Amino acid sequence: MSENSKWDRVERILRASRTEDVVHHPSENWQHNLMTAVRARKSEPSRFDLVATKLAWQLSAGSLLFSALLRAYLALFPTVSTVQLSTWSFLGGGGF
Amino acid sequence: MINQSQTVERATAPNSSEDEHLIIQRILEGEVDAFEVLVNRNRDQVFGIVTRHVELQDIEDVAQNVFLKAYDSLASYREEAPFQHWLSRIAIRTCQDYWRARSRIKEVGVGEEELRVVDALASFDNFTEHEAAQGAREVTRWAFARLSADDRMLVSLRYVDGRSEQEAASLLGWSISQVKSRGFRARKYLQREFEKLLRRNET
Repeated sequence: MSENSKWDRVERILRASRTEDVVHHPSENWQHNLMTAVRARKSEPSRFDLVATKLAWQLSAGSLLFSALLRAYLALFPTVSTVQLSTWSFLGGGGF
Repeated sequence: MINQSQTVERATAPNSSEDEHLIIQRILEGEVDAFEVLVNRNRDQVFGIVTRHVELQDIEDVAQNVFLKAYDSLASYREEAPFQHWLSRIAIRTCQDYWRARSRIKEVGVGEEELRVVDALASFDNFTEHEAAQGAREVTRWAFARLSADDRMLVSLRYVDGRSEQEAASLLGWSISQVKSRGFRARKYLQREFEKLLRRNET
């Protein structure tokens, strides 16, 4: 038997298995359950919101820590040059 | 002949895609109940796809996942393609995920009857159309259990649903060449498995 006719036989079986005429009717509760799940999703913060909040919190905590360290450094070494402070200011630092 | 009232009705009928656009906007603005309109309109289409691609007992769960995924990613829907097509892609990929989660399931046994059906289909049907379809479903289930989730979906779309290479590529999010090469490999593999099945039947 040729390769093509071997495949034809397989394809015939696959085609015969098609369940075109089978219509599945969802149970009565299906749509109610779906909409309940959708509404529950709406009331939950999205994953994006959670990640954004966490990131903002980490950035803010990091910034506070850095600022505190710099203040400590300046307290210990009050002779820090104007160039160093200008660089800090240029880089977006503040609070001094 | 079209009468005047029919013409007026047709002219004032809402444009479905325009209407869909408004519904999607309402959902994105927080009117979650408007999603039910989309569910009502597309439920049969989603169930039609899911029914053909997953086990009977899991149809409702998978169909629910399809709509939840659609809801979650509604903001990413671009109206370049019709909404129904976008939803079909989600449905196909959800079915793919379903099979991935199950990995290669345990071998589905083939009973005497299915073996007879294979034999009959190989040497022209001796059964009625209904009997042949029942048996073919069992045999296909047995064969598909040997394929990976991706190959299973591809073979199902191409050779059970009769979709073109382009349609399968679009629904699976693959390139045409991927569809061709994977399709070729899956065909060869299935052919070998069916030959083994027939040999088992002969011995």
